[in-house]
Amino acid sequence: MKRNFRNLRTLSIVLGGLAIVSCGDAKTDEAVVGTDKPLIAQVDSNQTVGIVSIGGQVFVIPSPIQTADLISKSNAPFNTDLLNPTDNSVNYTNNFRKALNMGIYGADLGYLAVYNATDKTTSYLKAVRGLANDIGLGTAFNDELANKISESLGDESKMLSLVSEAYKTADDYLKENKKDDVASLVIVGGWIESFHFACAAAVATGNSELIERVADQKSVLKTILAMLKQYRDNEEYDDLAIELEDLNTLFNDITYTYEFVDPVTNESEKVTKISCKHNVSITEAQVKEISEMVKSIRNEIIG
Amino acid sequence: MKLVKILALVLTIGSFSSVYSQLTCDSIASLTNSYLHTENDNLKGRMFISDGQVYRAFLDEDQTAEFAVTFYGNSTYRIASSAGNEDNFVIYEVYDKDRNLLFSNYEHANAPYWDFEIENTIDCTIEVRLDLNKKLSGCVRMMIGFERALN
Repeated sequence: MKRNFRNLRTLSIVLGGLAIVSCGDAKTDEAVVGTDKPLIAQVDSNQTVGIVSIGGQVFVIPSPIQTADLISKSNAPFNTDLLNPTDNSVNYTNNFRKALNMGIYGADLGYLAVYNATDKTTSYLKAVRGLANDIGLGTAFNDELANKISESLGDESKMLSLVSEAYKTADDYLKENKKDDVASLVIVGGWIESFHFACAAAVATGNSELIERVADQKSVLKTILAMLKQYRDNEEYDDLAIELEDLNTLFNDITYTYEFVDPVTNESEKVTKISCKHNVSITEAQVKEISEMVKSIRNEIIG
Repeated sequence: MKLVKILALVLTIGSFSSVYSQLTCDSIASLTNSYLHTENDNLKGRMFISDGQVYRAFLDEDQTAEFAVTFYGNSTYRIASSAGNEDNFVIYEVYDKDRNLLFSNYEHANAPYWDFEIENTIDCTIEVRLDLNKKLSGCVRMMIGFERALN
């Protein structure tokens, strides 16, 4: 009995010490960096932190919003048929499809924002919030965000910034909680939808910058496949990766050339200009072929 | 008794490490974010919109994190990084696909953020490590934003 008590006392002292040390650090950090309140829920501190493994790579996927922005600037007409209808959102029954479509609706929100299609924004935000709640990301897409978006309707830049911040908060939360697999689906969903926009706009307008953006997805796709590789033990991830690998083969006959040019740095402006040459040779038929396959993969995801 | 003590110690160290890493990573989030949104940007009538992702790595002294990035042409990007309360803990280098060095913030006093005007689409690798003269280990956060004019 005495021994048990001693054991208990040892544990209490150690755990008590831990609590004191942890609280002390939290206070110090807060004092140092300011008091911005995180939008996300309190993370369970018993879980291991979702830190990237060293020796591996961190995968950076360009923002779907940036591609939507390019499309609107290319004078491609707004096309509501390109969006995933919000009615579909209730049909996604498993987390795999919920996460993918949360990414898709995020890209749709970006598309609506750059075209100032404010009448549809509320319903798309509602669809995103529904899916976000289902996969435990409700705090990133909370009432505060909805109010801010409502207040910024018509202010494209502010809208885009708010949507990006919400997705960043969600991404951070998922990675903190070791749900990098789910985070990757949200990213893939956003990417495939923006790729779908770019393909449709490139085919419709013949705009050279959009066509080049389609060809540029070869590198992004390679990064996406590398990111998904670690989750391919799961059948759904594997199926998705197989489809993307098929898409990847369509880029094989596109010709790319690259030439290094010395960058120029402006120290006072803190900017470096990178002018390396990059040329792409892609035919109209190749654009159409890629466009068709992207549409097919995307339509399968949205159901 | 000994076993309980050892178990308690292991649990404590593990939990402390996890909690500490968590706190460190969380605490530098707003700092990294602030580098994407500076007063100077407002004056210039522009903003940098995050790509919606958070990049982070817990680095020890001999470790480097590697980020594979595609930058689109006709765009300006900002890379922001932080590893704590001082703004010069992180060294990062940007290479092209042929390992030509395009930029190192080490040549600019470990500047926590820098802008890149990209003329043509380019695939890059960003290598990130701690400046060991300033910090030996810790969480590094990196954010990437693209420029957009304010309305």
